[in-house]
Amino acid sequence: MNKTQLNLWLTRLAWGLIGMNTMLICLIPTGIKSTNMLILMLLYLLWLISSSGLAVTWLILRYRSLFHNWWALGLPLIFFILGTLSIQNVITIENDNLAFFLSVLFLVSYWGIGISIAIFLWRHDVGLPLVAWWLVAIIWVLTFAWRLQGNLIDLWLVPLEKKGQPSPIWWFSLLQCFSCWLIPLGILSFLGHTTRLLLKEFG
Amino acid sequence: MTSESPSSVKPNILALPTQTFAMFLLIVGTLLGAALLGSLGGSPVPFWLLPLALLLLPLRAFLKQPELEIAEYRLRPAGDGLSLLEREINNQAKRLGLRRTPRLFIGTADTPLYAYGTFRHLYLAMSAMQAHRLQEQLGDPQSKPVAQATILHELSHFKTGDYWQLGYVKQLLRFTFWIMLWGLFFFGGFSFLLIFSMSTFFTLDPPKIVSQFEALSPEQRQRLLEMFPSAQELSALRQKIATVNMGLVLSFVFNATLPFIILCAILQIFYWPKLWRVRELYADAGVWLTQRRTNPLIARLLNIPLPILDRFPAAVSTISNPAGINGGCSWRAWWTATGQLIAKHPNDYRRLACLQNSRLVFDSWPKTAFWVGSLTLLLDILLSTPVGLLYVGNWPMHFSTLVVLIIISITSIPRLTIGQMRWKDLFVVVGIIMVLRLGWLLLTIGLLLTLLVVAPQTLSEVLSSGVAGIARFAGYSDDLIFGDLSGFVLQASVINLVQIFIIWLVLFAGLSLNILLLRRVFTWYSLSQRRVIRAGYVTIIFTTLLVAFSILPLLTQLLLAPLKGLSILNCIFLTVGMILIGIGGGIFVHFDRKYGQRCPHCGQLLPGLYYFGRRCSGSKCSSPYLHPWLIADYVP
Repeated sequence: MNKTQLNLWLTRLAWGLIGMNTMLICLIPTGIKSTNMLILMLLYLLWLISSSGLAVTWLILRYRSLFHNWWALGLPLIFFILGTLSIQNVITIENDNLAFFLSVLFLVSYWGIGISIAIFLWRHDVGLPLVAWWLVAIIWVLTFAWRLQGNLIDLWLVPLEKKGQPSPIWWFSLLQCFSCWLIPLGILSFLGHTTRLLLKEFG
Repeated sequence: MTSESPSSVKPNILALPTQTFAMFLLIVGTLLGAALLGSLGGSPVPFWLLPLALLLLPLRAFLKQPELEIAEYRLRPAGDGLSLLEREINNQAKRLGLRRTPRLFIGTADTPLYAYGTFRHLYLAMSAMQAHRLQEQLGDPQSKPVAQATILHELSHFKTGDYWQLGYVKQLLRFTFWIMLWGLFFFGGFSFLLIFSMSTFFTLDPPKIVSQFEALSPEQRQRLLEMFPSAQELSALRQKIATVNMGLVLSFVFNATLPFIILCAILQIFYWPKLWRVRELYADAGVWLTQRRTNPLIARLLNIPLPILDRFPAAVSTISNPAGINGGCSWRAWWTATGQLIAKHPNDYRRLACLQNSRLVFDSWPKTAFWVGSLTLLLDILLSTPVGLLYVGNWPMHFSTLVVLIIISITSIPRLTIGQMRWKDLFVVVGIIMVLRLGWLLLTIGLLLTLLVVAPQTLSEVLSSGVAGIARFAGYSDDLIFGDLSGFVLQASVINLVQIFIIWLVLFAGLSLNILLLRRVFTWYSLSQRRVIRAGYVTIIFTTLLVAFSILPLLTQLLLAPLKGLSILNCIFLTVGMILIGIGGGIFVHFDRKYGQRCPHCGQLLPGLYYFGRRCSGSKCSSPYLHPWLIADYVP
C-alpha cells in the first residue's frame, strides 16, 4: 500500500471513528446508575475522548492546507463555544445524550483548536503579534465587561453561591482556554521561526 | 577653510561616507537612543525591554524580508532562458567587487526592478518582461552598455550597503510604531481596568470568598485563605491604593507612547522618502564610476538610444536644465518641491544634474542643516516626555548636541575633500539648527506666558501633571502645586534660552575642531582609503567623547547649579575627558608626524592642506594624484 492509499484509508478511518462515536453516544441508554457499570463507563469515556482526539488530529493534519487560513479556526471554535455553553449551563440541554455529546465535543474541539492554531502558526510567522494583540483584546474585554457587568470577581463566584446557576462571565473561560493554547504556541512559533531564519541566514 | 578643486577631475563620492549612511545613523540613533535613555533607572514596567526589542525585532524582520518579497511578488528563481542575463549579473558583481553574486528572481508583471536581500543573501527581482528585454539588450552591442548600466545601478545598492540600511530602518520605523501603539492600547486598557476595579479591593473579603468553596475541607479552605494577603497586608495595600491617582497613570501612558508614534509617522512621511532619494543618486554614481561614462545611464533614464546620445552629447545639458525647474513660476516650483519631499525617487532632472556634476549629490548645507536640525529637535521633544526626561533632565544639552556633532561631522567628510566646507557654511549649519530649536522654544515660552496671564490655574494643573508624569509619580499630593508659577516660568525660560546660546557655542567649537582635525587626517597621504576613513571616524568619536565628558557636563553644572562646587560625577567625567584628550591627542600627533604632509611615493614634504585633485609637486615623483582613490575618471 503506498502513501496515498494509506492516507486515504486513515482519513476514512478517522471519519468513521467520529461517526461511530457519535452514534455510540446517541445509543447510550439514559438513567444508568449502577456502580458495576462505572468502570465500563470510564473505559468508554476514555475510548471516546482518545479515539475522537486522534481522529480529529488526523483530519486536521490531512486538511492542513485549509487551516493555513485564519478563518478555518472558526470551525473548531464554533464547536468549542457550543460545548462551553452546554457545560456552563448557559444553554439548558434537556436530552442527556445530547448534553454528553456536547461535553465530549468540548474536550475534543478544545484539542482541535490547539492543533489548528499550531498549524496556522507553523505556516505563518505571526506568533508574536498574535500573542501581543490577544493580550490587548483580553484587557479591553475585561475592561468593558467590568464597566458593563460590574464586579467580575463577584460574578465569578456566583456559581459557587447559587449552585446550578450559569456563570454570568461564562465567556471568560473561553478566553482562558484560548489563551492556554495561543500564548505558549505563539511564543514557540516565534522562537521556531526565529531559529529557522537564523539557520537560513548563517547556516 | 576654502580649497582649490580643479574642475577636470571628478570626486569618487562612493569612496567616502555616504549621506545615506549618515541619515541611517541619524534615524537609528534617534529612535534607539531615546528608547535606551528611557530605560535607564528603575520602573514598575520593564522599560529595558524596549530598546532590546527595537534592536532585535527589526533585525529579525530584516532577515525575513526576502521571504515576504518572494510571497508578495510571487518571485521564483530565473530559469535557463535567462542564462545570459545571469552571467552578466555575475560579471558585473565581480567588477563591482561584491563578495556574493545576487540571485536573479522573476516575479509577476507588476514586479519592479529592485535589489533586496539580507547580510549574506542578495537578490535581484524583476518582471519576466524586464528580464527578457535586458537579455535582448545584452545581445545587441549598441544597447549592451544601457543594459549593463541598469544592472550596475541595482548592484550598486549592494556595494554601498544602502539595501541593508534602508531595510533595517524600514523595520525599525514599523516596529517602533507598532510597539508603541501596542503599549498605548495595552497599558491604557490596563489603566482603565484598574480605574474600574480599584474600588473592589476596598471591599474584598477573603474569608467570605473562601467560605463559599463548600466542596473543600476546612484544612483546604485554610490553605486557600493563606494564599490571600493577610488582614494587615490587605489594609496596607488599601492605604497604598487610596493614594494612587490613576489619572496620572493614564496620562503617563499616553505621554510616553504618543510622541514615539507621532515621531514614527513624521519619519515615515518625510525622512523615509528622503533616504530613498539619496540612495538612488549614489547608485547612479556607482554606475558611472564603473562604466567610466554616464551616457548609458542617461540613455536608460531618458529612454533615448545610446548611439544618438553619443552622437549629440550636447543635447543632455539642455534636457537637464529646463527653464521650468530653476526659474519660472514660483508656485509651480513650490508645488514640485513639495511633491519631491515625499517622492521616493529623485526626479530625472536631478539625476541628470548629479550625473553631470557629482558634487550636486550633496544637498546644500542649509538643506542638510534643516534635515538634521528638524530631527534632533524632534528628538529633544521626545526626550522631554516622561520616557526620557527623568534620566536626561540633568543633562538637557547632551544627547541632541552629540547627535548633531556626529552626523554633521560625518556629512562633512566628503564635502571637505571637494571644497564644500567653509567657515560660512559652518555658521549657516549651526545657525539653522539653533534657529529651529529657538523657534520651538519661543513657541513654548509664548504658550506658557499666554497661559500664565490668561489661565494660571490651568497652567498650574498642566505643569503639576507634567512634573508628576516625568517623575513617574502616580499619587495624590499637594506638593505638586506650584507656589510661584511666574517665577518658575521665568526661570525655565531663562535657562532654556541660555542653553541655546551654549549649545550654539559648543556645536560651533566642536564642529570646527572636527573639521580642522579631519582636514589634517586627509594630509596623511600614505594611508589607504580604509585607514583614512577609519581615522576620520575615530577622530569624530574622540572629539564627541571629549565634548560629552568634559565640556557639556561642566557647562551644564554652570547653567543649572552655578553656586555648587563640582560634583564627584563631574570630577570623574572631567578626568575621563582629560584622559581622552591625552590618549586621543597623543595618537593623533603620532600619526600626523609619521604620515602627515608627505608624498607616499617620493617622501617629499607637501605643506598645506589637502585639496581635491592635488598632486605631488616633487620633480622626481610620477604619481598623478594624492589619494587617487578619491579621483573618478569618466566622461560626464
